[in-house]
Amino acid sequence: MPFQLHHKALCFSAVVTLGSLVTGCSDLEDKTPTSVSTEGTSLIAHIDAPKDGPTMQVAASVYRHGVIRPLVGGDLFYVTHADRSITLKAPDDLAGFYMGSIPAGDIERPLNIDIRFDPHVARKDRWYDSSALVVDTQASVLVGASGSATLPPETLLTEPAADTQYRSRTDQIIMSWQTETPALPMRLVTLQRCYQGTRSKTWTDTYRLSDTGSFTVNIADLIPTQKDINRVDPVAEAFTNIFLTFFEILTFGIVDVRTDNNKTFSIDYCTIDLRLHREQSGTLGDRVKGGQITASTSDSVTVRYEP
Amino acid sequence: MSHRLLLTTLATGLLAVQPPTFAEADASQNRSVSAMAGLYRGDINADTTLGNTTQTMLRLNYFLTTHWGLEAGFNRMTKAETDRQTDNAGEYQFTFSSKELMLGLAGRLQLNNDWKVQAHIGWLRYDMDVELWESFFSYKPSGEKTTNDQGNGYYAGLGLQRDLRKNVSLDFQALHFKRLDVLGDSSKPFDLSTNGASVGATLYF
Repeated sequence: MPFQLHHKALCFSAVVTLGSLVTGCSDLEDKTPTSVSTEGTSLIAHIDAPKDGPTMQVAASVYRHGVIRPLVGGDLFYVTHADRSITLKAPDDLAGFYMGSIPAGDIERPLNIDIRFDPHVARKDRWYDSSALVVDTQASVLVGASGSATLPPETLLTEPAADTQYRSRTDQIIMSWQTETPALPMRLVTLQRCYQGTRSKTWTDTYRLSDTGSFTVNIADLIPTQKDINRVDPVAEAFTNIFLTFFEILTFGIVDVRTDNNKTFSIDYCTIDLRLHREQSGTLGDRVKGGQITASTSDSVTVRYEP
Repeated sequence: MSHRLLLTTLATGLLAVQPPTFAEADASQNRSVSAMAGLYRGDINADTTLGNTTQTMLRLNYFLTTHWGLEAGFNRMTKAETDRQTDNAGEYQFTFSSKELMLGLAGRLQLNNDWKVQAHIGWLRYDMDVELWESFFSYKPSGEKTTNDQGNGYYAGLGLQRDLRKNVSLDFQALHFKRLDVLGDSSKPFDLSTNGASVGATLYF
């Protein structure tokens, strides 16, 4: 199971504070996001609409007095968009990270996320009908936390082409995309899978970008020989897409990210997933003291490094 | 499970008897009362597993002919627990206990002067207490909730009787009980079975 409880984070919040500078983040910090308030309830949520995807992916977590909290005993995340509604689930019961998919609809309409108390819906996947028997509980103080966000314009990558091969660490991946006005913050999330015979390593990096339409990233930066890497394997294939999309949220406390390096790892070849997001902040409800809600559109491409 | 128990019980009994002579059953043995107790393994047709339980049974038999008769009984299934399961909402576990009325048919065949083989089949009416325990990972108070459910089912069994005296026998039986549609008014009813072996005594009067 790839999901474990750790309070490690990439320098996401710091980068948000600094603005949209082109920044590569790889230093892990033992802390929760700085946008989370140490008092009251904080909500962190992200909605992403992959290009041409039939569904939008949603991830969320809630904090109380700065500590991530699981939703139990009938509390649960609801996501509504147009006339559709879903509830989010946590792959690990106590991890406090929730996710789900909602059919893509009218992108101009906002997505709303809120914590509700619904004892029967929270137990609907059990083998018995909870309407016949349920232990009474009260709604927690987290109920009522909410946020809303609207998707930004579509993200459209134009370069590199899928399956482009790179042979040398001195090579550069030149990325291009269609810009939009007004410019919104962009984020590039990469997932590198490298193989040496039957051994493999998977790690990730995040870059904050401006909507300039192009960005160049060095193979040497993505696949370093000496520098530390943020290993995230094993990543179950079923989670890979969500993992890519929500990497930053995942690392706020869910996924076992560990530092490693490639000093003794002789690479046969690597695949590099590049996912570019265009992001737009939403608004949090009155009962939320901290956190953030973000909606993004994204486009991705996979290239190959084979020395 | 039930088949294995039946075969084991039969084989044990048959090893203890002489080659069958199929003596005639004592015609005076047409009314009897049996008291039995045994260990049973629970089974539930849902995404959970049921643990072991004990059952005690009191049964009246009235044989209309040498080989066939009617029976009525009372069976009590003590607490059978499901696995403790978890999901996002919390931890939960069910406990079932049941009082059951049995009405059925019995057949018997005298193997020799001391041993009889008996078979039972019939309808049962259950009155079941269904208890749910839930815990919420210490974020909310845990608790129990109980409901009562009645329904129908059936039972079947096969066993051996060893005559100890003219009017007293020792009983060995393998039995299968099935309670159908527990929580039948809900959207997810389930069947609850128990399979096991009982021992006891029968008094003819």
